[in-house]
Amino acid sequence: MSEPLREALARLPELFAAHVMVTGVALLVGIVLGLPLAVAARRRPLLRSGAIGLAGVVQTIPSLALLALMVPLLGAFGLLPALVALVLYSVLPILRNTLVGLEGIPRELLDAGSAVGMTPTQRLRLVELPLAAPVIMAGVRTAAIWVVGTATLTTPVGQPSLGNLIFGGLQTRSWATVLVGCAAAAVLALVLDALIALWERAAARRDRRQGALALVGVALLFVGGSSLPSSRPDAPANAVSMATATSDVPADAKDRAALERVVVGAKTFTEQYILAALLEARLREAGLQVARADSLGSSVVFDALRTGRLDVYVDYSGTLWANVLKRNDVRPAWEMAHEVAAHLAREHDIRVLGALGFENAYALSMRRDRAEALGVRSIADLAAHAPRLRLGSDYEFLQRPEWARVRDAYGLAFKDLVSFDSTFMYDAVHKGDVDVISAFSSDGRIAAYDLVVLEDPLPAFPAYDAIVLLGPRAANDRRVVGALAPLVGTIRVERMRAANLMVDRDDDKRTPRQAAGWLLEPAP
Amino acid sequence: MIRLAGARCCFGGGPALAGVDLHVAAGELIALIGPSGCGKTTTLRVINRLVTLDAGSATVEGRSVYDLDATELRRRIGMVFQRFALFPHLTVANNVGITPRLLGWESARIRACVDELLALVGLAPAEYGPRMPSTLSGGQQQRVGLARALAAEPRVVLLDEPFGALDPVTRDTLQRELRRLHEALGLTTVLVTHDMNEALLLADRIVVMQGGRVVRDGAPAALLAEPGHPLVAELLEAPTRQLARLTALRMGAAVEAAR
Repeated sequence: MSEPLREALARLPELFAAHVMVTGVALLVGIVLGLPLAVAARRRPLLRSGAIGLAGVVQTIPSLALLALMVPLLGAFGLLPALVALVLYSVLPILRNTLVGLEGIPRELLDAGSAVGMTPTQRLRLVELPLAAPVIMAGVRTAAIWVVGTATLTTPVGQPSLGNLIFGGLQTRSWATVLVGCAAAAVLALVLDALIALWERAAARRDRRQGALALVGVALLFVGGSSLPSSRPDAPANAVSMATATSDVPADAKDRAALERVVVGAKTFTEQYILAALLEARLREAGLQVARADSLGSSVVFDALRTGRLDVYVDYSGTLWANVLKRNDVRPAWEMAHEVAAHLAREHDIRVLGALGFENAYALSMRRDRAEALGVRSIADLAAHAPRLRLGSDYEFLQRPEWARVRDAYGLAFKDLVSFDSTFMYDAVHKGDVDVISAFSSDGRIAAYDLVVLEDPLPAFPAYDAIVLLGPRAANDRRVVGALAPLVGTIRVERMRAANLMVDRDDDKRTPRQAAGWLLEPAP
Repeated sequence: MIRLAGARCCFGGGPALAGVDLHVAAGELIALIGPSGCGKTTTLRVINRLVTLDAGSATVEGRSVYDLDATELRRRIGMVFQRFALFPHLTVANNVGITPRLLGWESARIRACVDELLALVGLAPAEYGPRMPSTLSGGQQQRVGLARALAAEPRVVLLDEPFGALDPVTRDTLQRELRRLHEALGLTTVLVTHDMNEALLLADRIVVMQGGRVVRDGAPAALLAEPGHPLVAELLEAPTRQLARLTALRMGAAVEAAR
């Protein structure tokens, strides 16, 4: 068994448990909201069309976007935005089917209910809901399948789920990991579907025993599934939520809390997984307990640090410059580093421990043979050829101010702009599907695919020094600082590229943890 | 026992009742008859407040139906529906025992009452009590419907075309059973029907309605003697013709036998 597969299987129980937990709670809340809403709306045309319409609109928002929107909307991350988004998704089928079920009951049975002397509430409980049950169950079944699938997308907002395997696997090109995540989600969906189908049939046949059996099965799945043993007892599945729970303690207690467990964050790409594993290894060596919160969205991870739900992660000076300081001018690297550190300390109680020694900058790159054929060495040379070239980039790049500035500064007008998952971007330029990509300067594939990084003579791209950020709790913790400070200035870009390549390549693939171990060995 | 005076109400399309006066004495069995949309079912439903009046009054046992809580009122009045309207998710016994259960009777009393009623309508309690309504024939279902209407010992029973969906043989049997139960339990019964034969056979008094009004109100014999309204004459035409034909056939048979 390959190492990535072994590691994916080891992480499976805790991620499966987290997935089952968030799915179960979302479904339960969806039912608790959807049923009464349907009951209230059935004789109120205005509320009925309003509720159905709103739920329908929610369905049309892409799930990833809905989840991401919940973070700024709720000002929280982790379990809360994940649950709110999943509940919003689950409400529509439950609401719609409950309405259809209730409205499909023959008029005469409703009259009979009233005529035998039922109050409206008794009639609802004794006649309408039991008769509508099969249709309602069908709605719950639809909702369950949607929620299981959508819950894989809660990973970037900080809720651990099977999506961690899928996102992490995609970013590190570990297809075995992706498959483990997908297969587990599919199995969960199928089992849940079968159990609810059994329940649905029991409801249709008015078979109480079978219905109870199915219900017990669903309950067992949720309770049993969500309490699966974590393979790493020191790294609970719910790292982020656990940290949330301790974030309300008074300031002086917070310092002591930091000693108990340090939460290390990572964004959604290979280098971040490696660096998080590196920080984790150093902290563990110092005898500290560590929890991980992986695959967080770029803005989510900073907010988590700022609000004390995360203690340490690695960010890049240019990213903070644009997103946190809201600057769009370009200053020399040393000046940016200074201003970023001062701003973070002043405004957010965040400590910049230091730069690791390499940059992960946006860098326009081409295949060496293509660049030489066109005689292109710098972005300035590129401008003349751009109208005949295709630019490939990750999802984010074309939206970022850096791109606008580079485009305007050099007058770049490409024939075509194509967005990829950053994993596929390098393959695309390597195979000639695109001519230029917005590569990351520390990516191992630059060397592996023999790409050249075009010079930026102006410069138009800001510096992206990798810097270790410590949150308010960790900033003053001597053991944390002591464990991590020796890393400052020790990782040259060639070593980072080599570490990234170990994880990203297809042959002799290593896990981020192994790559971090390699980085910790003394440099040759 | 039941009195409607100047009863008016409107549905979407127009007046459903355009001033109905009706009196039903205690122990009487009356039939409300008339063409579709004449207001007979609406009149029936005014009595247990399934329909609310816009004007006029409705009293049961001397008290306005609006003085009582609607649920309270309905628990004291039995009702039987044309398509049986048994609750398909409840057993026969639970269907019959529903009103006693709503009234909070003890379960032993409910069981005894259900068994007694099933026996009364001709269904063996041990055999039929645990069955689901969907396993019964139409006639059996309507027997259950009748038992359900009688469960809380009502003094008033309302029947909305109760035998319309049954085959002629079953219909005849159940008609006679209804009359028997009416007598035995001392009920006051209002029967909605579109079948003049049924009205003539069962009712102490026939109330003929058209366009939301009562156009004729009298004992069967009185109607036969003096229809008094073209609609009554029209309704009586079929039974009269049937009787004439039967008589002719029987006389023919007698002549045949005499030869």
